Amino acid sequence: MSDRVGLGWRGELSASILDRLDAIDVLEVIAEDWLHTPRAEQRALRSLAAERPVILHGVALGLASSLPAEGRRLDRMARLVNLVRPLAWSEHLAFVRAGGVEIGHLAAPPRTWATIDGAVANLRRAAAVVGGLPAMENIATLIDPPASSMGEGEWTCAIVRASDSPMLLDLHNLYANALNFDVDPQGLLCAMPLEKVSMVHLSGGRWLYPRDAGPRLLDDHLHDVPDPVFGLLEALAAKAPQPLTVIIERDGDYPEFAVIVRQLERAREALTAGRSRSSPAARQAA
Amino acid sequence: MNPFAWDGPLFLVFYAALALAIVAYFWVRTRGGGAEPGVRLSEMTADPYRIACLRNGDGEAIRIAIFNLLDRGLLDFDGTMLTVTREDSAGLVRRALDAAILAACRLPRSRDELMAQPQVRAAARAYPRELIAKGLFAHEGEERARARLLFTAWAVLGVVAGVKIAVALSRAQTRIGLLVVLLAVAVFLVYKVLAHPITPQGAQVMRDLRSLAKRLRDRVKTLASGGKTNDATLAAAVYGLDILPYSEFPFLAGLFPRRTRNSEGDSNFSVEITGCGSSGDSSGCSSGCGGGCGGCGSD
Repeated sequence: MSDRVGLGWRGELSASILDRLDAIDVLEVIAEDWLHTPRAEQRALRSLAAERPVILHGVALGLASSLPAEGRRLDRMARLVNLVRPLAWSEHLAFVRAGGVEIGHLAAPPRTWATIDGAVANLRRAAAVVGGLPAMENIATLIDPPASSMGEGEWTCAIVRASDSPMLLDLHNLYANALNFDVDPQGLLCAMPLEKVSMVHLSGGRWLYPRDAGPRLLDDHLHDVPDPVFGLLEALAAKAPQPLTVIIERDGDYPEFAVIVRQLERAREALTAGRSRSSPAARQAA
Repeated sequence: MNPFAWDGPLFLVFYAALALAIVAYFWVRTRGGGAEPGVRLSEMTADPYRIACLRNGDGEAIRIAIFNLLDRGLLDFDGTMLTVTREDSAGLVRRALDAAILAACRLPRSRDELMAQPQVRAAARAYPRELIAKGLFAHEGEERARARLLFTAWAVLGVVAGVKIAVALSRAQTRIGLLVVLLAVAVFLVYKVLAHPITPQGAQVMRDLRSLAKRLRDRVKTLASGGKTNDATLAAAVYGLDILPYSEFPFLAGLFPRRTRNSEGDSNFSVEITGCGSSGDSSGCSSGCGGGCGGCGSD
C-alpha cells in the first residue's frame, strides 16, 4: 500500500469532486452529516465508496473524556460503518459535552491521567461496538487546557499507545497549537507518536488578535493550507515510514476547484520529498 | 363483509385504501429501495444530461443542454430566439447533443423549434438507450409488463368503482361524485408511477445523487453563472431547472419559465397505449412500434 491524498467530502463541492476524481485517492465524509438521515440516503455513501475509498470522520462522540461515550451514539456510528464499509473511521481527542451540556465544539480536556484513562476506556468501548478502533485526531485549542499535568505530545502518546489506536495527525492543529503556545512545531511533531500515524489532516486558518492575549492562530478550515504545514507533512513523511492517508479539509470560502487540486498536488510533492529524505529501509517499508 | 353493501363514506375509505395499495405496490416495483445501482456515480456526473434524462426523459436532457450552452456563452437568447454566439462553437463541445443544438442554432430558432429539430432529438434519444443498457431504464420486456399491469390496475379500479356506482344508482343514490373523483385520481396516479421507465436501480442512482448533492442545492442561490464550473448544470440535472435563481440566470425566465418547465411532477414520459403496448423510449415513442408519439416530449 502506498500513500494516498484526498479530500474531505463536502456536498457543496460534489460536482467538482466527482468531476475530478482522477486527482483524488480517498474521500473523508463527516459521519454526523449522515447519522440521522434515512437509510435510503445513507446508501449514497456506498455509491461514493464505490468511486473512491471513504473514511468516516466523527465529530460528536467526545471520546477523550472521563465520561463514558454514549451508547446510542456509538450504535449509530456502528450502523453507518456497517453500511458504508469505510476504509477506516476516525474521531477526535476531545470532549464535546459535560454535565448535561453540549458544548457544540471540540474542546481540549485537561491533560491528566484521568482523561487518559477515560479516553482509553472509551476507545475500547468504541472498538467493541463499532468493530474497530478509530484513528484519533489531535485537536487545535486556543487555550492551554486548565488543570493539565502534562504536555500535548506526552498526553497524546499515552492515549494512542495505551489504546493501540491509529493516529490521525492534524498538522494544522499541531502547527496552530505550537504557534499559540510558543512551541517549536517540529519539536511538537517529534513529540507525537509518529509510528502510530496512519492519517493526516491538512487545512488552513487565520490569525486572531484578542485584546487581552497574544495573537492566536485559529484553525478555521476556510483558508488554503499554509506552506509551513506542507513542510510539516514533508518532515512527517521523512520520519514515518508507514503509508499515510492525507486529507485536505476545507469547510467554506471555497476557491476555484483548481486551487484545491493544486493543494492536493502539493501534498503529494511534500510526501515524495519527505520519502526521499527518509532512510532506504524506511522508504522500502513505505 | 361485502364492500359494495357498505355505506358511502366507508366505501370511499376502502376504495382510497385499495388505490393507495395499488400505487404503493407499483412504486415499490419501479422505484423500491435496496437495489445496487450497478453504475458508478462518476459515470453519471460525467454527463449531467444523462442524469436529466434519468430524472425526466430526453426532453429534459435537451433543456439542460440548452441551459448549459447558454451559461457557457455558446448560445445566445434574445428573448425569443436562440442562436450560436460564435462560428467555431461546435469545436468547443464534446457531447453529441451539444453539437446538435449548436448546429441547429446556426439559424435563429425558437425554443420549441429547436427542441423539435430532428438532429437534436436524435442526439437526445441516445440517452434513454444508454440508460436502458445500464439497467437504469426498463427494457422493452419490462415496459410491456408494466403496460399490462397498468391496464390491469385500471381495470380493477374501474370495475370496483363501476360496480359500486351501479349498486348506488340501483338504490336511487346519486351522490357518486366523490367516488368518480377518487377513481380519476387513482387512475392518474397509477399512470404517473408506471409511465416513468425508471427501474429500482435507476431510482437508487437518483436517490444517491440527490443525497450527495443536497448541499449543492442548498447553496444554489450562490452559484455563479458563466459556466466556469459544472455546479449549476449538475444541480439543474439532479433537481430540475426550477431550483436555479433568475437573478443569476436571467435567460431562464424567458426560456423556461417556471410554469412550463418540466419538473418531476410534470413528466416527459408516457406509456403508449396503442400498437405494441408500452413505450420504453423516454420521448414517449416506442422503439420499433412505428408512429404514435402522443403526449410526449416537449413542454
